[in-house]
Amino acid sequence: MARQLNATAEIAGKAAELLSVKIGDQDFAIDIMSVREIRGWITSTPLPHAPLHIKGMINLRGVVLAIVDLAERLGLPTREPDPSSVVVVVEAGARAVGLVVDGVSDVITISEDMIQPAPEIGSQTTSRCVEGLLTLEGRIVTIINIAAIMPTEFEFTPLAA
Amino acid sequence: MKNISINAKFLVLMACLGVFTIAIAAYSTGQMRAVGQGYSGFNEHESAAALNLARAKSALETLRGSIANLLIARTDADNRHYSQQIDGARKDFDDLMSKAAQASVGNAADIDDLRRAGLQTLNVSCAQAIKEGAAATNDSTILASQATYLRDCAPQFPPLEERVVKQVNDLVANTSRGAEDLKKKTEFTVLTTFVVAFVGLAVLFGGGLAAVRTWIVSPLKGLSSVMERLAHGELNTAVNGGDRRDEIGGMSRAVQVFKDAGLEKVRLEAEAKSLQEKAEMERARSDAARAQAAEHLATVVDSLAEGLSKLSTGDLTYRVASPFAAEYEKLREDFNAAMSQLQATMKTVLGRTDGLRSGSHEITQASEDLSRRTEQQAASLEETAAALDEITATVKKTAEGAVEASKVVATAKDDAETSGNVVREAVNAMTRIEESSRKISQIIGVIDEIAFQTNLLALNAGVEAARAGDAGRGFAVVASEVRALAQRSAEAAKEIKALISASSDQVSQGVELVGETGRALDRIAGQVSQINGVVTEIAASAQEQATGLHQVNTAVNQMDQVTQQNAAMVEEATAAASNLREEADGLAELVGQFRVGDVRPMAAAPRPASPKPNPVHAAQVKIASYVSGGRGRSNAPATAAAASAAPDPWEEF
Repeated sequence: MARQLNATAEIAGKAAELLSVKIGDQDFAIDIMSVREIRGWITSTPLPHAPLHIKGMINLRGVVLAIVDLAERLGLPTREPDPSSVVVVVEAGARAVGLVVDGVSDVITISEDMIQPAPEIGSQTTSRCVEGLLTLEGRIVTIINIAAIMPTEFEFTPLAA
Repeated sequence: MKNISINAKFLVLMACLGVFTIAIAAYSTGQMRAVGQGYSGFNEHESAAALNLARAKSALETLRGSIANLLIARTDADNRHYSQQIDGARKDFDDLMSKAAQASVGNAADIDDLRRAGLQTLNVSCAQAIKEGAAATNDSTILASQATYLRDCAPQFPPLEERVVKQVNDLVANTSRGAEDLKKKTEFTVLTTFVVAFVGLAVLFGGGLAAVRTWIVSPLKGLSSVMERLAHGELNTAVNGGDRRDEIGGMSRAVQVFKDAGLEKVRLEAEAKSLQEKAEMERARSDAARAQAAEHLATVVDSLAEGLSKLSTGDLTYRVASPFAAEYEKLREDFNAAMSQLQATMKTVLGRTDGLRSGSHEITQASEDLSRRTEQQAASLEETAAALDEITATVKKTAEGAVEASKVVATAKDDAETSGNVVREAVNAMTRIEESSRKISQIIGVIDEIAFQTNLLALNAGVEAARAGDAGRGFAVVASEVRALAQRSAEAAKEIKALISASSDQVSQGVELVGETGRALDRIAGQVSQINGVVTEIAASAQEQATGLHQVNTAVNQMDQVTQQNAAMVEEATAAASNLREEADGLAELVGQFRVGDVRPMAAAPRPASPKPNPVHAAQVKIASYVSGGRGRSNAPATAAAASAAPDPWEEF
C-alpha cells in the first residue's frame, strides 16, 4: 500500500500514462507501469472452490496465471468472456494476475492535476479500489488501484465481508 | 320218227359219228400195237443172238491167245496160270454160245452146231497140245508142244471163226428183213386208216344231211307255207301235223289256234255290219221330226236375234213380247229376265262409274301434291347434307386446331420444364454465391482477428514504449500509428462483414424467390400437362364428332336416295293416277252409251258439294311452313296463316 501510494505520488508531479479499458460501456484506466502485457482471451481452466470473480487460470509461457473478472471484482454487471475480450496482465509487487476486460481503448497520457478524487460515498471498498477519476471528452474514466484488487489481498482482508 | 323230238334226232346223229370215230381209233391202236411187238421181238431175240455170238468169237480169240501163252511159258506157275485162263475162256465161249442159241428163233440149230464144233476143237483137237504145253518147262518139251499145237490145233481155229462171222452176218440180215416188213406194215396201216376215216365221215355227213332234211326241214317248210297262206287270209287252208308229238307238232297246233281265231273274227264282222244298217234306218226316221222342230227354232232365233241386236246397240229396255213354242218359252222368259237384270246392273255401274271418276280425280290430285312435297323434302335433305358437310369441315378444323393447340401446349410444357431447370441452376448459383459470401465472411473474420491481434500488439508496444519512458517515445508513436491502422482495418472488416451479411440475406431472399419461381413453373408445367390432356380430349371428341357426323352424313345420303326413289315412285304413281282418271273417264263414257231408261241421279249423291278438307293439302301447307321457317323467314308470314289452320302440324305429318 505504501509503495503504491508512493508511485501515485510519483505520478502526481508530472505527466503519467494510463491504459484505458472498457467494461460494458464504462471506461476504466490502469497505470501503465503495472501492466505487463495485453493479450486476447483464451479459455481458462476453472479452479475448484474459487471465488466468483476468479474465472480460472491460464498458462502464460509456462507460468500459471490466475484470471480475474474485473467486472465481477468491481461488482459491476458481468458477461461471459468472448474472443473479443482481452486479458490485461498486471503485476503488483511480485504477483501477477490476468484481468478480463471487454476491450482495451487507448494509452492515454495525463497530467497529475487531471485526476480527481472519487466522490465520498462511505464505502471503503470503493474508495480503496478507485484511485481517482478522469474526465475525458465528456466521459468519466475510473482509475483502478491494481494493488487493491489483487485476490490474495482480499482473501485476507476483512474488507471483503 | 315223228314222235321223237329234234334234240333226240340230233343226239342219234352225233352217236353215229362217235361210234365211227371209236372204231377207227380201235383199228389204228391194234395195228400200232402189232408193229410195236414186232420191234420188241427183234430186240429181244435176233439182236441178242448176234451180240452173244460176237462176244463168243471174242472169247474164242482169248482162248487161242491163252493157248499160245501156255505154249511159250517155261515155269510151272505160268503154266498153271494160263491153264486156268484157258478153262475160263472155254467156259465163257460155251455160255455165250448157249445164250445165242436160246435167243435166236430161226438159227438156233446152226448156233448149237457151231457151239458143239467149237467145243470139239478145244476138247479133242487141241487137248494134246494144251496138255503138253501145261507140262512143258524146258526147251525140248516146249518145242514139242508147240509142234503138236501147230499140227493139230492151230488149223482148226480159222474155219471155226469164219463160221461164227457168217452166222452173225446171217442174223443181222434177218433182222434187217424183219424191220423192212414192219415198216411196210405200218405204212399200210396209216393208209388204210386215212381212207376208211374219209370215206366213213363222208357217208355219215351225207346220211346226217338227208336225215335233217327229212325229219326237220321239210315239215317246217310245210308249216311255213301254211302260215303264209293263213296270213294272206286263206282261212280254209288245212293245217297238217297236229298229231305229231315233237316241236313241229306243237307249232302246228298253235297255227291251228290262229286259224280258228281268224274264222271267229270274220263271223263277228258280219254281225256288226247288219247292226249298222239297222241304225241307218232309224236315223232316217228321226230326220222328219227334226225338220219340224227347226221351224220352231228359227222363230225363236229370229226373236232372240232381234233382241240381241238391240242389246248390241246398247238398248237395254227391249223385251221379247211374242210368246214362243212351249219348249222355248222358258228361253224367252230367261232372255227378258237377263235383260232386266243387265239393265239394273248397268244402272248401278253408271252410278258407280261417276263415283270412280271423282275418286280417281282426287287420287290424281293427291299424287301431284305428294310429288311436290317429296321434291321439297329432297331439296331440304340436300340442304341438310350440305350443312352437315360444313359442320363436318368445321369439326375437322376444330380437331386440327386441337391438335395444333396440343402441340403448342407440349412446347409450352417443354419450355416450362426448361425454365424449371434454369431456375434450379439459378438456385444453385445463388447457393454458390451464399457459400462464397460465407467464405468471404470467414476471411473477413480472419482479417478482423488479425486487426484485433495487431491492435493488441500495438497496445503491448505502446505499453512497452511507455514503460521505457523517454527512450520509448518514438516507438510509442509508431505503436499508436499501428494501432490506428489496426483499428481502421478492423472497422473496414466490420463494414465488409455487414455488407456481406446484407448480401447474404439478399441472396437468401433471392434463393427463396427463385425457388418460388421454380415451384410456380412446376405448377405451370403441371397445369400445361392438364391443358394438354384437355386439348387431347377435345381433339378426340372432335374426331368422334367427325365420325358421328360422317355416319349422320351417310344416313342423310341414304335418306336422300330413298327420297329420290320415293320421288320417282310418286311420279309413277301420279302417272298411274292420271291414267286411272283417263280410264275412269273412258269407262264413264262407254257406260253412258247404254240406254237404261230412267236414270236416277245416283252419281251425284256420293259426291259431296263441298269436298272434305284434304289432309294431304293440310300437311303440305304445314311442311311448306316448316321448310320456309327452317331456311329463312322470308315467306314465313305468307304460310303462317295456312299453318295456323292446322292444329298440330306434326301429328298428321
